[in-house]
Amino acid sequence: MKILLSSQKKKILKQLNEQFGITTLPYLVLRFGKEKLRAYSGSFSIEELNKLDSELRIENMGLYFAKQQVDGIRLTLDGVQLFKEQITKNILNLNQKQADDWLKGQDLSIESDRAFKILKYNNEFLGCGKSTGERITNSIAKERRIK
Amino acid sequence: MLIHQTLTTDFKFLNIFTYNNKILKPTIIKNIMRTNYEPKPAFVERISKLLDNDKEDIKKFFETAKTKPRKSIRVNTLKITPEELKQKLEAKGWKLEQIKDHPEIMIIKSNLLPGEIGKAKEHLLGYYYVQEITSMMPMVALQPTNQDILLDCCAAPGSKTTQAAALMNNKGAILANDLNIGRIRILSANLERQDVTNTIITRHDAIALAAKLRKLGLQFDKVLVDAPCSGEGNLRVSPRTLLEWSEGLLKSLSKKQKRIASEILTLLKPGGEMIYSTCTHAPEENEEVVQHLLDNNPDLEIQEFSLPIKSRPGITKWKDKTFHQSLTKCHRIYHHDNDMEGFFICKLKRRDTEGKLGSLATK
Repeated sequence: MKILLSSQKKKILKQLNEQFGITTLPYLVLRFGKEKLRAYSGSFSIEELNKLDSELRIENMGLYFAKQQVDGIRLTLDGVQLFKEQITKNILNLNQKQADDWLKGQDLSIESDRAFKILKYNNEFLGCGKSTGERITNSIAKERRIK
Repeated sequence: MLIHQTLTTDFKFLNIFTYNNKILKPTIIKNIMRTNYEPKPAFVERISKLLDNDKEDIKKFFETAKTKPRKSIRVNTLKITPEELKQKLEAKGWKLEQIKDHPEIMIIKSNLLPGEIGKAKEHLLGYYYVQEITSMMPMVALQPTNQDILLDCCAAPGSKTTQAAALMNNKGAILANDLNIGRIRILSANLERQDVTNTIITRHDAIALAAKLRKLGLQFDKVLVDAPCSGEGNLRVSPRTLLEWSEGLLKSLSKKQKRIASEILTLLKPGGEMIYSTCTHAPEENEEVVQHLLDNNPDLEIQEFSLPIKSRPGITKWKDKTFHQSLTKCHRIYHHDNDMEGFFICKLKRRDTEGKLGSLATK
């Protein structure tokens, strides 16, 4: 676990803003491993968290909301839902069939610019996928797919 | 479940059954393959005594034990309002009943297909948590707020932790602990799906955790000890409990529960509240544990609380043991009273006097 400095957090917010229009990140941001970003909203201070980390076997903290990749930030399904009120950019509105296919874990044949896209059906946010130009690559975890 | 799957696939044609590469004895196989279990005479006798030897009541208890409980869900208010979810589910044809004053708790009245509740899109999106209503009651009793620091020391699979996070609106702080890595993975997955952001998950034996937290000087406003137990309240979903049940098991669990509860209690702030709960009826695992805490912590008292379902008071006498009169403020929930599962809940408060820690009772 690594608690990000405010300058590092600012960089992430800037990237989130450019990609999805997100303007605030009212969480402590932590990095687990190389890429996983987690959002923590608990009332423990950084000092307290460091003390806890030194003494306890911490398995997880806060919500895994994004993966920081070379080609940009990919929000997780739960990350998309966490920021749904703020997301204004790169939204793809799906039809019912596309939404069903997406939730089943299938890629979607949709042409768009190469970027991370937020998938939305009616007023429901269904996750985030990378567009290759011709299709959206599915990123819903296997255990979360509709069988 | 794992054992059963292995049994149905390994060397069945030879009538040899294995589990973890060990050949199982025919008597063990016979017991595992059974789906209906008869209660042991000692169990019947104990339940009869707990139900004041009321024949009708006893009959209802054992008849209900052979049926499945009603399905229920808890709306994840971190993601959706109860009304919004109700509309979505009713549009799919589900019939729902909400509990008075607790709109987030819903009983599913319609007969759904097996697995339909878990496979629904709304479940995958984390709009609700499939949870038995009685298992929601400890948090209903504890009522954590967004100012609290809460410890859930035996947290997996996370039903009560996620409920607490929702009640706290992802504010305050939760420390959710469990020992088993497999169960921690399930806990983590459930917290993710419910969008819980205010929780830290740790992996420790509850007693070791208490020692480490004491060393850090960390104390909690609210504590939940939902102790590992014999599961007499879960007969309807886990009839195998009857097979594994013995009075010896109750004694050893009681000892373990006293130790866990005593150690965790030392982490409670003066003025703080702790819920001690189990999904069992055995007084050795319930009132006896609470009495042990009272005996060793003079600054501790039992609090009254109300629940939105039917419950009965805790008992004050069991075999040769007498418990303090205030134990009647505890709640015993029997499965046949609500068509749910069985539970025991006690709410304790550390008096806010000199601000010192209670004694470590059980070494």
